[in-house]
Amino acid sequence: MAEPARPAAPPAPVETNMTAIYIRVVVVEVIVLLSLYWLQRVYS
Amino acid sequence: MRWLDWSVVIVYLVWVVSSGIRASRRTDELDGYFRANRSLPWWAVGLSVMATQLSAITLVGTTGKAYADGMKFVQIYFGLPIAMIILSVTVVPFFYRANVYTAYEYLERRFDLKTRTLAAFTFLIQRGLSCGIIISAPSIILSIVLGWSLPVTIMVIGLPTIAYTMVGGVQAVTWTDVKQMGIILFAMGSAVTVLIWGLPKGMSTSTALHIAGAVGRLQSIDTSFNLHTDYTMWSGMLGGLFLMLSYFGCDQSQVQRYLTAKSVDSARHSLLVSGFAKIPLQALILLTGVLTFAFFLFNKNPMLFNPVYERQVLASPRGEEYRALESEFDRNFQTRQSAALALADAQKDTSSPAYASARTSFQTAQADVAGVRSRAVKLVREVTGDSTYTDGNYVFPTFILTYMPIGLMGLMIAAILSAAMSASSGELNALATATAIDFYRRHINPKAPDSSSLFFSKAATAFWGLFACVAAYYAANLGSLIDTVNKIGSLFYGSILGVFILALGFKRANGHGAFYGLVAGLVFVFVFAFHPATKSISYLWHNLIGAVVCVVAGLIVSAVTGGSTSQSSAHNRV
Repeated sequence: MAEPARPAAPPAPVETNMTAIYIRVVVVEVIVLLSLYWLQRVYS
Repeated sequence: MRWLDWSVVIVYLVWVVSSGIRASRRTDELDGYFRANRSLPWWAVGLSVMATQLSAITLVGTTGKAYADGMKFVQIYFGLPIAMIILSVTVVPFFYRANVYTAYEYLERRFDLKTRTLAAFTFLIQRGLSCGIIISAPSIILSIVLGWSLPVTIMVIGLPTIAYTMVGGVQAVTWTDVKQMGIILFAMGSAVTVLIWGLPKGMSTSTALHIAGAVGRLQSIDTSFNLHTDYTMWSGMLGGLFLMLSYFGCDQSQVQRYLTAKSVDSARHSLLVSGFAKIPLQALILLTGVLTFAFFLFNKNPMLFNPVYERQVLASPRGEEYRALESEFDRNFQTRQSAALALADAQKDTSSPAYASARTSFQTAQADVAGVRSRAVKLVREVTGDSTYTDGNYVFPTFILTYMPIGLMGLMIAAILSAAMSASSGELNALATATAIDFYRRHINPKAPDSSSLFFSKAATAFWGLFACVAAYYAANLGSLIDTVNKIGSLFYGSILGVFILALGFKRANGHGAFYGLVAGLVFVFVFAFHPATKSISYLWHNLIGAVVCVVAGLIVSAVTGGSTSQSSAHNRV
């Protein structure tokens, strides 16, 4: 006997990888601070 | 200002008020009015978070600081990205899932009513005053532009802001913030273009920056560990970290922004927008101030940038003294201009003796100009009695009114209004929310229906708007506005942060500990900030000190009074 059709499973919630975003924030900060330091060295 | 500039400003004011009111949905319910039914996208909330922090002080005061002192101010934001990460991990999911309207509401669940009330009261006083300072900056500019009295210009800014904040609540605030950020960014881009365009023919932006850098205007990182210097890398990384943790994590004007996001992750993303963009944006604004300095090396500027005080001094018995200084300034200005051009020429070969000589000549000429200006400021202070007068706040407005082309001048004024309105609307909304939720619905009328609470909230918005307008009038002469708003905030922020650290980090902390810890932190910081022996220590450290004193005192009192109280069980339920 065929199984009764099951209701479609609700879509799995999309999980954001926050750790990757936090690392990106830190990387961007380091780049910005190095840029400011470069600006200070080159133009002073 | 010409008719086109006036038209731009009027169209802006009408557009922002009407669009703010139209953007509101279901504001007849408390959740819609205070939290936008938790429906706003992360990018809009993120821009609103930034717009609330980016006030007219940021445009006017910061560019003035860069003109006078260089880019050191950027260091105050060095702790911000790390603070955003810490808050995203800890406080954001906590508040969001606690389903609260205000940050202080949670303190009653965790501790007791007195702690909640004191924290909310501290917020109201501190934010009410800060909101006044935020309105005062553009009011000063408008009073110079229009020749109107300060109270009138304060009302021109305050009343439209009160109108759309009152009617539309947090949704009106958020969506107008988004538009206002767009106007500010476009206007700043236009200002940078005009500044570069105004450099002498053939002079590159890089050469202009080299000239400004020769007198320290590109100095942005100070690695010395000097507690008495306001802005160092360490005061920014540590003191600034605590300032940002408290401002974004415990201040209702920011907490309310991310409580409107669709989900916890959306709320986190909205904060991280600042983590990514705040330092670059602030560096660009400071760089605009540095370019303004370079611009005024080659384009004549008045000796002092406040024409009202200049007229007062000239009309006084010491007017002749001022005129003599002006003549000396004119001569020094010409000498400095020639020295700057010579330095630009010598820039082609930086290893030559001619370059070293040109650089020294320019530095001497700049010191001479600064010396005359310093004597003129002293004279103004003596004649007007305004002992805190600083010229920096008037530099960028003078550039706008003297050199921006028709139409763009109006756009710049609209941008300054945008910055003032976006920052103050967020704060008015938060002040009204705390007044309604933490006082009206808790102390005065706990069974109030939504309609009554909404009516009270709107009345509270109007009250705080008018309070801020009065505070703005008295804030106009408080010296560098950007410093003033941060100094006032730093008296309170650390201690409030300490209470939340006790709440979230120490299960044994109880209500008595939190309350007396907060009192101890506030008292200690106030004494520390004004005591002759310690008042010269940079205000950024007040944030760290307040938090530490509050936590230590809170833990001691909690231990003495028997540890965790029954309310603390709510800690686990939230």
